Amino acid sequence: MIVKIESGNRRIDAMELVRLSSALQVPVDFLLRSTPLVLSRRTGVVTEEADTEVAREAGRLDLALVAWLHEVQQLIELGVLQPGPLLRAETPVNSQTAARELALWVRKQLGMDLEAIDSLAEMCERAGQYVLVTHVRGEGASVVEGDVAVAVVSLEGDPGRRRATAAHELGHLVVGDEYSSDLGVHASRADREALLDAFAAELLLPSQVLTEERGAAEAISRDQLIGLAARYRISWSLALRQAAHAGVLSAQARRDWGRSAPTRSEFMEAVGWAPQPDLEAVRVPPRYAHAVMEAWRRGLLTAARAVELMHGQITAADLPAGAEAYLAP
Amino acid sequence: MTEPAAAVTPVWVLDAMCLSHFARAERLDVLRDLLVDKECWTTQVVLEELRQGAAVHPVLSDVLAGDWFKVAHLDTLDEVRLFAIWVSRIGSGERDLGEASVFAAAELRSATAITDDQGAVRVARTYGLDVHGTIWLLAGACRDGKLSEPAAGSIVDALRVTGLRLPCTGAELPGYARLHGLL
Repeated sequence: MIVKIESGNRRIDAMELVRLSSALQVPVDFLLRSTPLVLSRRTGVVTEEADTEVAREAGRLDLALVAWLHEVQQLIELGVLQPGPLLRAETPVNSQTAARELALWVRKQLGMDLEAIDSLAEMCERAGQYVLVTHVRGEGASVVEGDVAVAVVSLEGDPGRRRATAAHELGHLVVGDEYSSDLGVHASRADREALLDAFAAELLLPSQVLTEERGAAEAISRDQLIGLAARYRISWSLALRQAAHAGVLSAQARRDWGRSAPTRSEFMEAVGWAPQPDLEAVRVPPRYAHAVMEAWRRGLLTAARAVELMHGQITAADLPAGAEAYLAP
Repeated sequence: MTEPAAAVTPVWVLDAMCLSHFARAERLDVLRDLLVDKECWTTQVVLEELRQGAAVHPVLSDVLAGDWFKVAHLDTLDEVRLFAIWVSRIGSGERDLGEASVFAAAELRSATAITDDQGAVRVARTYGLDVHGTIWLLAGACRDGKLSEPAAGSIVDALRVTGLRLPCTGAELPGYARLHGLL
């Protein structure tokens, strides 16, 4: 049917469009807008065969990503969201070492030193990438279309993993398009993803933080590492990986500590509190959320549409009453 | 000597709320008579919404059987695109889709959209659409001598009984309409 519609041999009416978009679980305008050609995706290895569970998951992830791109574009078109400049590496990044240096450069460009990143969505937004946290299988995906960069991160999985995925997708933006960078030509997809994982790890918990935490001791203690994992809100596996990379953790300790993640009581014991998840209640970036509210205030969107665009971050009851009281008849 | 301008028939596009509440209040025939000098439209999306609603309110089938309005299918690419644009402003809930289709059909025909969904009215007017509600429609009928003020008031009360949210009661209608310059 799609082929016939595209070729002009079959017309589609509004009702069919509604049914089609409902079946595909995409917004009504999804099928009418252009789709970016290149998407980056952090998920399992996607095979060429379309009919596999992994391929279907990847397909859903792509749909969610493009739908999110359209939403950001709508707010830009309405004049309530002004995308900032995209943060891009000034030189090609072709090694994990270079990727780690790039992560520190990104921190510096955004006015950060070695402190923990409070809100990753806010940080990515300042780098020019709008991140949506949503219910979708897989881990994350990102795309750059013109001067608009967006990413989606799955709400499934643990909060530390979500932050790592968001940081990884930011890496895609900063390192550059996978098919136009020098890296994409020479490196395999797996190597490139490993490079972006290194970027993400260094962005979330700089190695220098680990060496400073260790101090004069030979190695970092488990309590110290638990404390860092809590303050920097990263997964235990990423903390272990970064500690090993920074040379503050022996291979044996990494294996031993890796067998079980810290429990809530261990967090309480080490730092006196349990880490609060990032990218959970906050589903959309702050400036985007402000733009949605602004569009609603100006009467460019209904309350119902504003709630849709906020992806569960608010309900209609959260909107101030009065704007939609009785108008002139 | 110039020819006198031909009278232009007003074109109105009715939403599901208007049609369904008049039907449930058993005043659909009154609505039809009031609009006899108008070119009336609704949309396929609205009729589908009413078809679904007929399972709960069988009287809505009366609307589906109506032959006094035309049905906009929104089936050219430009029409479908315009519908999608309105959906992105109004929302994609079932009722929102109906409103979006009404606004798209009204924009395409430079017509007046009739709805009492205040949120949708606010947005449609921001984009320059001519949109009015049931009170405006009834007050206009009174002004044109098609309906007495008490008869209009009784329709308002009947519609309110069916759950239609209106800004005044039947008794308040004349005062409300005068306050807004409708009478």
